[in-house]
Amino acid sequence: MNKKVTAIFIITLAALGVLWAYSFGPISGTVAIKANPASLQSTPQQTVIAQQNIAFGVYHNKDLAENFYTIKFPQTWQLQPNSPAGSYRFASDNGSGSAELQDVADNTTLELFVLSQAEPALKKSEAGYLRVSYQKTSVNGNDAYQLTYRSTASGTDYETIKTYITGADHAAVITLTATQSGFASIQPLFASILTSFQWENK
Amino acid sequence: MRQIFLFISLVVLGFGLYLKFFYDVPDSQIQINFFVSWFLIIVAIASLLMNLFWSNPKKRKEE
Repeated sequence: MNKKVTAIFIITLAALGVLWAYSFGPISGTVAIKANPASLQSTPQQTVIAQQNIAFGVYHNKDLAENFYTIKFPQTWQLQPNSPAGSYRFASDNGSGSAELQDVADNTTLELFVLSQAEPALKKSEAGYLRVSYQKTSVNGNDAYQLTYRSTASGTDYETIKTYITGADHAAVITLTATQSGFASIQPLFASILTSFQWENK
Repeated sequence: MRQIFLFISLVVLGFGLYLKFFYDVPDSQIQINFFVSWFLIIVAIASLLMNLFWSNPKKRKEE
């Protein structure tokens, strides 16, 4: 057999072995998407909401190349550690919020995804799920679908606004939750967080 | 025969490149896509090189 062909065959086998090890074997784990440390840095910004001066932290998420985005959250809210790449989770005394990226397959639309996959999943995961409203809307020029629902956790009633915003590859999902009793008063703050969302590489 | 082998190698290479650069991979399948696409690309390139370097029996006879 030709020596060059034999060499190519052996090199190919070695390359496939390395590929397997890199994908599933002892040196795997490098394929998964990792959060960019720069995404966790925020710049302060003051905004007046309902005649109150509120300090926000502006975050620039640079985790997924096609889906860089900007969003602001109140500085008094605590950023939860170890959020997956492309996402932020915040908690506060009177509400909670999150921004994350959602992969939507090419063979469906975001609206179909929301109605046929996301909402049925919420019905299963959220105790006492009750849809309040569903509407098509726009967030800084991007088509969006907004689901408002009520749920119960640990004996407390909550109301949540979940907004799915169309994006280049992934969609953005912004979830803002408050107790039902405090929902009306916190709504202007939620609206400010939502309108602060922008795709950076559109 | 050699042309058929070459054609199949090019098809496999094209499919591997498609999976690597154009296929919309669901988040849950990134790892398997990484493996399959690179597997196809490596095997196809190796096949093309083997095809290129395989000594031609006609030429050997002439020699």
